[in-house]
Amino acid sequence: MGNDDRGDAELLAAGARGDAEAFGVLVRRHIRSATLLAAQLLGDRDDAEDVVQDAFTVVYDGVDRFDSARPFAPWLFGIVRRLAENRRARAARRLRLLRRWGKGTVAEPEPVHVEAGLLAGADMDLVRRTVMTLSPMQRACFELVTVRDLSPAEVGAMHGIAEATVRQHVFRARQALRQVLNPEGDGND
Amino acid sequence: MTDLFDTRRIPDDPAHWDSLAARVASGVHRGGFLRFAATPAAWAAALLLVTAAGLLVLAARGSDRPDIGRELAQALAPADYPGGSLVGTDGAPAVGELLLDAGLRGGDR
Repeated sequence: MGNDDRGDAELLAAGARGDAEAFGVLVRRHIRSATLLAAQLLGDRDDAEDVVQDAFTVVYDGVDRFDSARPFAPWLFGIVRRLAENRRARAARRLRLLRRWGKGTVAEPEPVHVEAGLLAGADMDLVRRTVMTLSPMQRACFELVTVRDLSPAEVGAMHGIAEATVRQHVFRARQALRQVLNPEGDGND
Repeated sequence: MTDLFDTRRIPDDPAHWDSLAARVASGVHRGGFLRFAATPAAWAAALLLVTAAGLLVLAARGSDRPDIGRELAQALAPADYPGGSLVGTDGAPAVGELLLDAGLRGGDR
């Protein structure tokens, strides 16, 4: 990624003028967050990478629609969310058709569950049951902040929610898991 | 609420992100015509062109078909020489030819 000090808007404008290197820097700067977001929405690595490719294509083609006075990342993440939702809707329609016609085995994507390494030694069944009591967004925020080490601000931009909401989700998730890992704990966060 | 999935299958190292970013960026630039070609509008335009080309070919072949009218005229033409020579020609035969030919054939009077 290098140490490019240019802002996102500047990089995007340069890329639109044909500066491939500038656009590459912009992509590299946001590829991780965009891909993790798409992966959380789709549950599949290949689908996530396809959506990210499409999202940056939309960004490139739609540079005139970007308000340079506003931050770039939320705009990008909104495009990712929209494209991912479209793909999910198409997949859901295919799933309904497959079920209706009973063709083959339809594999469901696995739902969220917490990184096993974090909870080594714990009763995993209990942990899973605890995790499943959390809302999908609580689980997602917890994973991105605690496991992937993203900032609450960035996670908020990714999912289109306030940073404070992200912090709250993470806190609740940690609290629930702490009760499982350390039921006799001292209550410190 | 929309269900969300975990991201454990996503590698998380700088080399992976560098590689993916390079692929995505080059894919965007490689797009252009290829992106248009993959759109429904492009497929519709291609279908129209193929249809138009097919119609042109059919129209051209139609002009090569035998003139049914001419064939019918030939079939219905009089058996005698003067009458037969008048059918299928754009203009009347020369009088001299008719007289000469009639003489040679011992033609009808």
